[in-house]
Amino acid sequence: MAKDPKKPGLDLDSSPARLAALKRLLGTTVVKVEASFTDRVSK
Amino acid sequence: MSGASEKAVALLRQLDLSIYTSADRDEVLAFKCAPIGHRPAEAAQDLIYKATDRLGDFGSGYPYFVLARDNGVLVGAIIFGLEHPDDPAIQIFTLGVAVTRHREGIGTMLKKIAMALAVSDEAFPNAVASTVHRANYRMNGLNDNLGIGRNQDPLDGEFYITGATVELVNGPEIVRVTDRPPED
Repeated sequence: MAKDPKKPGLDLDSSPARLAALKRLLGTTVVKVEASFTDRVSK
Repeated sequence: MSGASEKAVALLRQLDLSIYTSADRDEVLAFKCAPIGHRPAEAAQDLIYKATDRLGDFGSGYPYFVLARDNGVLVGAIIFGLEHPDDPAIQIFTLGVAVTRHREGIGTMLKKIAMALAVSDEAFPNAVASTVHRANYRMNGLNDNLGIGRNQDPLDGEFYITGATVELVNGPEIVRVTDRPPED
């Protein structure tokens, strides 16, 4: 099924092949993000 | 701290982050983040516009719809969250930076914030994903610079699936926007 660029998301629930491809990426790619948080309520 | 990190921290302190509300609608609909004729960026821009009225279409529950302003001017927007409750990663549904502010690191900063929130929010898995058109060179470059992996979408060769497991290490302060819009 072609991706509709006007629709958000990967639709992983109905796309086992995409889910498998994503899981492969997550298993092999780790990104460290340097951050600490201060909470603030949005305006 | 490296020069690049100092620049990132300075940018972070400069930006004012808030969660989208209906009061932002007109400003968001006037927001231009796609260069003329750049179809992948236009698609991202259209999704930002769509979210002003139909944020509920973006995944399960209400996702984060975060706006970034610089001196009161909207310079960036990002929408992210879980598409389905059991997904292994949050998804960046769309991301846009004002055309006048490209190549300043604003998009990278917004994506880092989304990734950091993925780790810090217990409702989210510690991973991030997105789908990016292969011709969206700027977004692919942004992801490459962040170290996010990509594979060709097995169902549509025009797109990449991107993803990474995220680890949070102590670093520059990020202001966490804690409020979410109420569900209708």
